[in-house]
This record gives sequence, C-alpha cells and structure tokens, in this order.
Amino acid sequence: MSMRRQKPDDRYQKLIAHWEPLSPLVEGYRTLRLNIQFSMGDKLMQTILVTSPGASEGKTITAANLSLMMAKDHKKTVLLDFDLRNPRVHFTFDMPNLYGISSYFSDMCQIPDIIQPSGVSELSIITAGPIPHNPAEMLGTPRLLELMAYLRQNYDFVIVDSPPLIVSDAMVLAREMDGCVMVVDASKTKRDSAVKAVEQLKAAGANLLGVVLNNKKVGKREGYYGYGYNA
Amino acid sequence: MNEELNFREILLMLLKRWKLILLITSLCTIGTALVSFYLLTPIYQAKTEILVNRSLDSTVESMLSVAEIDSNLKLIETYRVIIESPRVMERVLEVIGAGATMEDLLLQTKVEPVKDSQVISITVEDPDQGRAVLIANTIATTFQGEVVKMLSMNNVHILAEARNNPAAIPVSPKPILNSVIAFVLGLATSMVVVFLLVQMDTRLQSEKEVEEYLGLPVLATIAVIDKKTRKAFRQPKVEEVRNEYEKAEA
Repeated sequence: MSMRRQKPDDRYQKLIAHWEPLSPLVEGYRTLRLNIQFSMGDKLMQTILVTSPGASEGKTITAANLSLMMAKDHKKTVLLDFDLRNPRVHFTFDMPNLYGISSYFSDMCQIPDIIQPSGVSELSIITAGPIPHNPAEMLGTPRLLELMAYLRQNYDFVIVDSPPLIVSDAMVLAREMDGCVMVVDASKTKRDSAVKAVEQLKAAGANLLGVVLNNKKVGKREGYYGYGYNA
Repeated sequence: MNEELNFREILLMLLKRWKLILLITSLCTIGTALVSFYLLTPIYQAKTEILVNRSLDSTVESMLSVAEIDSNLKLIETYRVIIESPRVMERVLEVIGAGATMEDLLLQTKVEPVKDSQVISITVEDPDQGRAVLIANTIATTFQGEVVKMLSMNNVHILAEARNNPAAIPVSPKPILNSVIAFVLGLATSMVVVFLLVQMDTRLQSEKEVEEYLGLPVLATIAVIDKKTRKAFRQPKVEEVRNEYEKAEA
C-alpha cells in the first residue's frame, strides 16, 4: 500500500486546467479533449476510462483535467473515481469522501445521492467512497451497468479514473466504456509494462483510443507556442 | 531500439547528456594529471656515447671495404654484450653502492649502437639525476678499462660524458601527454556509458517510441509540471487542508 502512496506534494497537484487556462500544460489537455472528440467519428464516445500500466503515472490528474476541459466546453460532465483501492479524486478536488461509489455498490445510497458538485459549472464528481474489502467483486455486479446507464442518460460525458492495470479492476471497467485512454509516464513507465497493459486492455475488449504521454521533459527550444503568456 | 540510428540522433543523444560526458571526461583528465604531477616519481635520463674505432688501431692502411664495415658492426654488437655483461655491471654496482641489484641496473640501462656509425650510446634512467649520471659514466669508464684488459686494444673512446644538468626535465612521467591521453580515453568511455544507459533505459520517452512499441496514437503530451508552476498553483486553502491531512496521518 505504501508503494502506491504518492508524495504529499504530488497528491495535491492542482487542477491546472481550472486555475491556469492559458498555461501550455493546459494546451496538452485541450489537445487530448479534441483528439478524443475526433476519434469519436460516428460512434458515440460518451464514457471514457483513464487508466495506466502502473501506479501514480498521472491517471487522476489526467482524468480531472480532461473532465474540466469537457465542462469548460459546456458539456455536462461527471468525473468518477473508480479507483476503489487508492482513491485520489477527492484530494485533487478538495472535497469530502464520506460516501461515493462504494456506498452505492453496497446499497447505502442511491445514485443521485453520491453525485457532488465540483464548484466548476457543468462538472459533477462522484468520489470513491470508503475503501471496500472486495473492490474486484463489487465491479462484477449489475450495479455497475445501472450506474453507467444512469450517467449516460443524464450527462454528456462520463470520465472514469481507474486503478492501474496491475489490478484487474480496470479491465472490468474498460469493457463497459466507449473509449479508453492510457496514461504513460515518460519518466517512469517501462516499455514492457506498457505493452503488457495494451495487450490486457485489448484482451478485455476495450476500445483503446490512444496514449497520453505524461511528464515528458520538454527542452527549452521545444516549448509550446504561447509559452510565457503567463510568466 | 531502431537499428538505423542516424548521425543527428546520435549527436542529440550525446548532447542531451553532456553533463555526464563532461563529468566522466574531466574526472579522468584531472585524475591522471594529479597522479602524473604529484604521485609518480620523476625519472631522469643520463646518456654517454662511446666511439669504437678499429681502423685507428690497425697499422695497415686498409680500404674501407664492405667486409670492414660488416666486421665493425659485429664488433659493436660484441661490445654491447660486453657492456651488459656481469663483468662490467658488477663493477658499476660496487661504485654506486648498496641497494641496487643487477636486474634493476640492467632494466634502467639501455645500450644501443647509434645507427650507421661506430658509436654506442648508453642511456640510464633513474629517479635521481646525479645517480643516473654516475651510473652512465661509471659504465663507460669501466667498459673502457675492461676492453683494454680483455682485448688488449685501446680503441674505445668516450665521446660524450654524461653531465649533471640542474635544469633537466624528467623524461617520465609526461603529465601533459598523459592528460591528453586520459582526456581522449575519458571522452570515449563516457560516450560508451551514455550509449549503454540509453540502451538500458526502456522507458517510453517520446511520442515516436509510444507509437513504435504500442502501435497506438499519442492523443496528447503533457510536459513536466516544474516546481515554479507547481508553486504558483498552490492555493492557500489547499495548503491548509494539506497540513491537516499531514497532522492526521502523523
């Protein structure tokens, strides 16, 4: 468990897309949103799973900022924290996690009860809730389908933050989603584990849209256009 | 890794890790320079030259035939062996005193005929310049005496005596040369190290690599959030929450 703990500093990484809309980093998330919208084509790409081969490679940050970008595009969006083992979304958004997905799965709440406002218009959040003993079995129940059906009806976009692919949860979730985005940490993720993760997702029948290359070291010369707008 | 690494890519790869290359190269160069300047004992050289003249000794005015020159050369070779023989060397050992062995003496002494001449040069290397000079001169004079005794021929002349030169530069070590060699070797080593590091690093570091190994498109690239940016985002409210969490965890 302690291996998966992020450093205290990283845990509170900010929602850059909200605070600094002109930052070149946000340009990356904007590109991600556009590319997801493009890859939709005729298909309905309403639910997106964000996962990664290993722990702390930037899933939550990517999911949070992607959902912010969607909300800022005036799409009614909901962000789900499906990492029932090591939930992080409530830290990122600085909100309580007294009830959430696990409470709904264990029949303690109804769906509307676990949806919380994020403080950003058009964006709602469902936190993970208390950490359950059997997260893998929970995901196998028909409640997952019910939840997704409900959210599909009420929202334009559903972004799901998931556990890494070293546990089976993400595979179960990926099957139920329209699209899947894999986060790869340029300073961390090894080729082999990434290749294995892709194979796992494909075997699970996920619609893998592509990769988000996170934490890439960008040289001074390769800076984005507009770098320094907010310097 | 792609087999066809082109020159530009190699150059970029090396430039990217210039700090490591600089570190290894400068460590090698400075280390060698320090060792050469301070740790290695300087070795001085002393040289005497001996002239062997046979025709002077002969009463008959003979023509300088091919056979004559040939026998001269053979004589010089004989003299060389005599110089290195224990008969001469033991005398030298007596003169320079205790603490020296025959093997050492032979190792630091180099006897060789000067090409196309009747001159034999004796070169002695020693940490002490005076001793080197003493050995070289002793060898020369001892040899001269021995030749008279053995061959009853007085045809050996000392052409140039070794002299003590206070401004003499040691022949070894050569700190500058050593440093240059170390610099080149260090540069080569560091490049090999960089190549190995790149080969061993299996992280997916670029869009190109992601597409190559995963066969998936890169939807977006997010740069490293640097410390400066991170600090700018830290809202005071969140800072408080963070402190609370840390207290609770402690």
